[in-house]
Amino acid sequence: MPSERQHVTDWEHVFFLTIMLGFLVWYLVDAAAASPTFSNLILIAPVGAAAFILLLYIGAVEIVGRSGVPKTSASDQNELPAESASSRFRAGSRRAIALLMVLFGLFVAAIPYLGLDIASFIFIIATLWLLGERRVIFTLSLALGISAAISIAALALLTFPIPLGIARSLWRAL
Amino acid sequence: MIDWQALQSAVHILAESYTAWLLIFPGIALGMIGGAIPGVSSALILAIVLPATLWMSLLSALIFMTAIYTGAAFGVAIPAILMGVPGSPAAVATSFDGYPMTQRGEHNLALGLALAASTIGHMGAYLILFLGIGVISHAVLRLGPVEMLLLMLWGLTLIAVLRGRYMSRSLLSGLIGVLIATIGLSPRDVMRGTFDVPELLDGVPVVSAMIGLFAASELFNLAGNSYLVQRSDLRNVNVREIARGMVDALRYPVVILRGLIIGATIGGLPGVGAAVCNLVSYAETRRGDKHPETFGKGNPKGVIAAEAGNASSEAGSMATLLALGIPGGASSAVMLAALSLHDVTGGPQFLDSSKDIVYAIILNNFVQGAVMLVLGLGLIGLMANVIRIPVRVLIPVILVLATFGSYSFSGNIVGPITMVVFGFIGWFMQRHDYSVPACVVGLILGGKVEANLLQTYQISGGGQISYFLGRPIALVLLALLLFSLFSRPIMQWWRRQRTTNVLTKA
Amino acid sequence: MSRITRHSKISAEKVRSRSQRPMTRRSFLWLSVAAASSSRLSSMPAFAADPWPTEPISIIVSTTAGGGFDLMARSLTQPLSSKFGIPVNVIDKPGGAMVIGTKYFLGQPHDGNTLLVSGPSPYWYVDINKFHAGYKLEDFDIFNIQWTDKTGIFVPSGSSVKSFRELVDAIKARPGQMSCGVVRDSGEYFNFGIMLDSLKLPLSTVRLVTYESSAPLRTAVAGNQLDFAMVSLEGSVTMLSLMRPIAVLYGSRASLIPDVPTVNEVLKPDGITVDFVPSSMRALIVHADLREKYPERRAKLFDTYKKVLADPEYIAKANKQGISADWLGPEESLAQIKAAYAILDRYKELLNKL
Repeated sequence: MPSERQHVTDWEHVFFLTIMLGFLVWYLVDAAAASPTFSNLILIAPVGAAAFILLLYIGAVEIVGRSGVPKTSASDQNELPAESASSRFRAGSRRAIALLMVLFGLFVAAIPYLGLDIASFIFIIATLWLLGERRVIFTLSLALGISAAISIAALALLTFPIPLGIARSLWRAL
Repeated sequence: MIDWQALQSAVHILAESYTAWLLIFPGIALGMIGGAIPGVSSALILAIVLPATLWMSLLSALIFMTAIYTGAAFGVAIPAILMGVPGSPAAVATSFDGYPMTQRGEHNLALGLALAASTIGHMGAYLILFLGIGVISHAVLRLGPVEMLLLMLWGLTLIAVLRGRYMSRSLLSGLIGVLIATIGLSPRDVMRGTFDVPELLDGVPVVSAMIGLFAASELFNLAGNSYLVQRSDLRNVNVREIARGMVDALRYPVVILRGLIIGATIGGLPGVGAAVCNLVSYAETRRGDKHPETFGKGNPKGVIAAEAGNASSEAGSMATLLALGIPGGASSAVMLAALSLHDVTGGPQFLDSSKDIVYAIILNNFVQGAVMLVLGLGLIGLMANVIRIPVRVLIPVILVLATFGSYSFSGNIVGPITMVVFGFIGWFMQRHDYSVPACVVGLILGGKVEANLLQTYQISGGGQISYFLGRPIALVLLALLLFSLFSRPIMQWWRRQRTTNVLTKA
Repeated sequence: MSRITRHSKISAEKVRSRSQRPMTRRSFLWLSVAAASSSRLSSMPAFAADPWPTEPISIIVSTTAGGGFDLMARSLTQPLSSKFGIPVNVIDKPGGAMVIGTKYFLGQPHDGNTLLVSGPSPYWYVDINKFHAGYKLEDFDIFNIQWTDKTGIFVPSGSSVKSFRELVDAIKARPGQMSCGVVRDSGEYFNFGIMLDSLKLPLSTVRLVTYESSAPLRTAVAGNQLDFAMVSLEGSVTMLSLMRPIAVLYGSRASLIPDVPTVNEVLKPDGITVDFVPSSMRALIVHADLREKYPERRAKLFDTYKKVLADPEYIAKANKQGISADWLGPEESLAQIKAAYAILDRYKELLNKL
């Protein structure tokens, strides 16, 4: 692989690494504070240390770039083809993906308040629309069908209660 | 070895009632469909039907429950192959090669391979059980914390194997996975990273995290596609092709055998479930292969190895259940509870006095294997139609079902929250070429590694060498571990040295 | 007829007769549970004059399905249900070493429609003192400790140690060499500390190996991985051929293994008497403020429960499943819990010995 290409730092990657570093440091400190003994840290310490070193290494490489050292044949043997992960992400769909993630987060957050049935119903409608589905009847029936199926399963089968908005009262009434 | 009298009696028990056998069909179907919903585990399904089995005779309850168990064991592979989302950790390795095959339009083949490997693994393992249940259970007892630790470390080395372009990034994924697995109560009950939230005392729910990492991230990616299989000409469900896949699996007897033996033996160890067997079988097949780099891109051997390991672990955990009365995991615990209500307690006394019931259970599983081949084919034929559903419909439905699965698994909102959080994490990881499977391996094995590591430390009086020297099995396992890790690179290095020498001499 | 054929024939008959007569008494118990659990059931109230209860009653179990607490709760559903005339369900809420289920119970309306089966000792002690559970004993009204499980000392069946006396000698002869297994932060763990303390031996005399639950611990003993272990008795009975009990850590012998002496019996000649804690105490519990808010409901629950435990049919059914039906009553139960807490307090530092 030619080494003359200019290295471009992927700052999003650095951001991701920073978050990981934050988690790592916080967790190690928390675990050590809980009990700074050998038996508590027997695995966490070495694994945490190794992860820390790796993090710094990867971060350094990302920021500064690798000097172009041609790889030996041995390590080439196990490499995947050159197609990198980011080529799978077409620019147009990135916004859809981001919105989808936000919707999903909102859906789960809403479950304790709206109940799984109502939240699923709304989520399915919203997502279908976001992803391009425009058939109204299809959307409504699918949303209704899935939420109903889940509600029935939750009420009839599970041994513990799940938050449900209106399904429980409907169930009792029937 | 075989108790012929007990065998005869077992056949009598099984021939008791023909109607009881009808339960195989709903059992397997229920298991397969339930298993195919990510997050819904066989333990959950078994717990749900538990009250119903009390109305049944022993034979019916037995047939029904084991059918569910068997169906679910395979069911989890279906979404793993079709969507890259394992139904449970037991099918993680199946997705590594199964999903790439789907993306190439080879989903029919992959499903067929998986079904065949699963069934053969299942029946083969029960055959081993039949011949040597006593031997297996005593072998299980011989393994202490050191041996278990080595076994888990062996599983962890899979992380090195599962990498993307960057070894360092995948190692980091794996290590972070291990660390996350340690959140919660330590083996000595120290609270770590829990924010004093009681729901986190048991740690991060692994199944939900796994669904998040695989499913959510995969589904988020799919947002741009219209269908799972890009090429419309390949987007069909062809039962004949599935059947051909099944026959194809027979071309790889060694792979199946390896998976079978791994599952039947270590699957019996308490705490070692189908997830570990699935991964270890895959890892070992890949390690021993001439072209390991083809794995992870749709190598049929990967699917076969993973499924054989997964399916045969059921027999292993049954062995421990029946011979020692000890459940290996959540599903076997429920099974044990159900069986005990019919006076089937398992344990050494039980093994002595009721060998015929044990044989009946084993024989019943042979029949189930056969039924699975046919019923499974039909059901897969139906379920594979998922690929013809446009992605924009699949995504919301799968996400909602998976949320339901997560919720039922953890019993509270922590499951779905974990799923969301790990969905984001998984998406980020994929963007930057961090291996998600490596993280999942770390998650699955991390807790067990720590528990066994600590016990090893405790039981050896703080790491005294004398303890280790007195355990020949451990030393053998260590040798095997080192061998399987280093033999290949050392051989390559050796070969290269020789060629260089030859070249320089020339 | 050879012994084996006769054996197998008997088993086959047992199975055959069960299939012809699928409803054993125990099955009937469960059948009713399943039927009663369906909220579709409408029935006439038994106490026609008194309107309560009108809604189904839930029993929260703070451990997993299939465990001892769960079985005990389930055994009560049918008798309670038939006496009250409304369905009684069990809701399993495991997790966080009982904290989750117990907290969940406290969060339910304090109106008598929700009961709890949990383990005040030793589990709550650990929850309160170590895991910052946030509740206290006074938040609960303990009706009765129905089922107490004791700790036993087990050795692998092939072990050269044959009695408790021999075990103590072996420990003293080889300090720091013998290994003992316990479930972490369990009653047995405390008993381990208590036992060594009474023998005036430091904790380091024995290599303590901790396990997350009793199943792997029993496997370890059965497999001769450990020199000895302290485990709860009940779950160990199916494995008596592989692990041998040599002593009971309690004030009295255990009916499950009547020939095994208690530690105190063995140590009596040395003038040592030890107070141990039971491995677990399983109790039926209601909210503490029920007494003021709904005294008639509390009284009804209490009397009905007491009647159930006095019913010989219930006792027979429960015992067949291995469930005890002891009646200690609220005062005695609370006294025993407090006594156990007092012992645990003396060894509180064991909680943080890591």
